Amino acid sequence: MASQFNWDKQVGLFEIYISSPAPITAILVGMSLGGILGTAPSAAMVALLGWVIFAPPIHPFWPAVVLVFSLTLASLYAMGMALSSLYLAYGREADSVNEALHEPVSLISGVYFPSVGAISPFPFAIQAAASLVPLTIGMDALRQSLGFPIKVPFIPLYIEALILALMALILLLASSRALRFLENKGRRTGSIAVRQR
Amino acid sequence: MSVLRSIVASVRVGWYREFNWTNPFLGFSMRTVGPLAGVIAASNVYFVGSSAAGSFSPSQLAFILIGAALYTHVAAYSWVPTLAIAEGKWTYVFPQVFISPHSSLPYLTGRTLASFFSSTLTVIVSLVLSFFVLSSVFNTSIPFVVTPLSVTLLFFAMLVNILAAFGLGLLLSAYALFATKFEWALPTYVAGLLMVFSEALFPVSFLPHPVSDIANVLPFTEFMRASRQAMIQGGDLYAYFSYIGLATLGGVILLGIGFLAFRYAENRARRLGVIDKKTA
Repeated sequence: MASQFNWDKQVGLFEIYISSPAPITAILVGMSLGGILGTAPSAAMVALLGWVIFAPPIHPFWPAVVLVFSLTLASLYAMGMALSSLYLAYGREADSVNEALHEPVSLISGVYFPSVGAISPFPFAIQAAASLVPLTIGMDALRQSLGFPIKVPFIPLYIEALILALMALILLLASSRALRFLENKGRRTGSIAVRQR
Repeated sequence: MSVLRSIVASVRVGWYREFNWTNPFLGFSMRTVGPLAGVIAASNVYFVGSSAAGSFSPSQLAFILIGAALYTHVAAYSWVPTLAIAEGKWTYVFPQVFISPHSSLPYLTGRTLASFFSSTLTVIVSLVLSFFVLSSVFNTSIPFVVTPLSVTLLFFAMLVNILAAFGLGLLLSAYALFATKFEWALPTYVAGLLMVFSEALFPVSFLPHPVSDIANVLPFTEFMRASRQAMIQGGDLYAYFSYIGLATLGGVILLGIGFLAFRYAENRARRLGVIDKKTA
């Protein structure tokens, strides 16, 4: 999501966005919803296949799974929208940083294994830093709602759901402000649609 | 000679692109972070799983460490020909390549070699760093063999694997010449399949038949096996050269198929006028 505007800028779509009467935030929210709809079926397919093939011993509480999954997606896309303003400011540099950070963020955010809580191999400082990424809280909440046998939860499930909702709200507001600021600045300096810095 | 000059020029272009047009040290550092994190992640998955099951084994950790590192190496450069075409169409670079005659293949070869050299460096650094990090974090001795001979054999295996990786890259490029949507994502899907079918993280014998039979003869699988024979204690030279022979044979076949497919696709794309086609 964060790199979307940079890519659109490179292929000449960004000029069309800013010349349309729609606010940039609305365009990003629309693209986020489209992204969620586009990726949800493949995610569901992977989960279903994994369930059939590996038969993990889980006891899901489905309302909590759906709620936590939706909140995680919302906060992640809100974070992407907030970071997209960085792309407007820094362009290719931001893209390189994004590429470099992709694997380390996956490593500490619990995509591959529980990265927070009692069975995490990371020290508490790294766990605390990783918790600032919505994906970390979301993955832990998903594991809890799916009924994985976690003896001592990192944070209780309902608090993680609240944190995710709060993160989504804060990041959405932050992205709206950052985008408006950079849009105005870009319009004033005439650099808003410049393709390569 | 002109072909060689074209390849050398393309290697230079590839390096600048690989390092994102920044200074080499910064570019190199940025490109090392990803493979290092990937190798540590794969090893951690094994550590968490095996510790829970009470069956942690340093030799299995070495197996995963080598496989994860070399997988990121192959995935980093085998997709470069496809990316060079997909990205080149959008940035108007690839149609320029076709202005000079017979330059597409040297261009793609140069870009691939540049990526091979840079990813070899980043993977070696990430392998060494992850070895020290994981040895201390897991408090274990990873049974690597680090001698001039074993390192030379590892480099030789990496060189041999260029044949298969470039062949695969050309096959995907043949498709990318015609595709206008998601051609940039195709290598990611293929790389995902390679993780399962190339013995990167687990033996292909775990897969059901006939999938395991197909995976068993892939040159990428033989490359992984040869590298492990060279770097992990207990390997022997006879097995190493057997695997290298199979990797070479498979690589030559894949390169031949890739070359023919690309030549056919290129001629057809010229006739149809779709070399610079960007939308359906």
